[in-house]
Amino acid sequence: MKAFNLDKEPKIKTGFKTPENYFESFETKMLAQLPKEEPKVIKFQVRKLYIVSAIAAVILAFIAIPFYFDSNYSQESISVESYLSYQLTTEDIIEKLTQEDIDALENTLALSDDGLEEYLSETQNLKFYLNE
Amino acid sequence: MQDEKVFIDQLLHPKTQHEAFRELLQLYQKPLYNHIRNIVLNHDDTDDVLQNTFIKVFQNIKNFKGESKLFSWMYRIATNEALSFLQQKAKKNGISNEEAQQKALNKLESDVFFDGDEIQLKLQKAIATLPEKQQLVFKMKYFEELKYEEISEIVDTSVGALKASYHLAVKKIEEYLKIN
Repeated sequence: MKAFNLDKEPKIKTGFKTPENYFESFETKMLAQLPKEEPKVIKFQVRKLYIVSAIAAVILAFIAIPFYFDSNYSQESISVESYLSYQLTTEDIIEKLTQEDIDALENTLALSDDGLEEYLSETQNLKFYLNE
Repeated sequence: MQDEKVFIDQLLHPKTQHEAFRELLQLYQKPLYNHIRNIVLNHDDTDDVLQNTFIKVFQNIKNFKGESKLFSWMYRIATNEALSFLQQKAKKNGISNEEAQQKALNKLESDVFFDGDEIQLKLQKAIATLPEKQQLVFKMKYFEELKYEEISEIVDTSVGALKASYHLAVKKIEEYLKIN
């Protein structure tokens, strides 16, 4: 058995080869994969922020303008309750109520039988309600 | 190479990055190819891993902090890519890493991109008997002729430990070549 000394023997090469012009074509292939320089595009998120800000500014202006031009414009006059009572009739509200809403209201109000009779005796549509 | 910081800035700037990347490829594609080929053995696999390496380099250059040299950082990416490629390939075939390496070695004799003689083939077989880290150190020192300091930065091991590892690897290889 012959002793083998790696440092004293001539350098052993790997023996690996590459296809012809491999590195030239590799360079071209890799450079083609680079992203091209593109014009600056404002990201959708940023653009959305601008739009939302603009809408908010317009809404704010609508609210602020009456105050600015009419100092007697009282806060009560723009309260939500007033707005609803002006815009919606009782019938409109009743139409939107479901049976569940009515049940929930009955529970909340906890009307006594006496109270209910008193109310019914006072109303002009008693006959109508009794026949319902 | 010019000041590394300036070069990295050029790689990051949209106007200069194309030219800078070309320079990067010209400088490193051959040494990185050899490094990866020494690990995966087969040309086609090397080509895939080399592409992935450069893609990762390009994608992550913005995160490069300059704590090590660009050279070491790229070698580290190439090493990780090559080793994880081998692991995935072995897993896909349902065999161990050692079995996969043995399979790759057996294919080497009929590989058109390998023109090694008997002793070159024997050396590859001898290397395959070493633990993974010793194989890596031996290949980087013997074939790629990297300095211990450079290998130290790439594999994050002290120079002393690398010297011991290389010495041990050489002894085992010499023993293998003596017997076979």
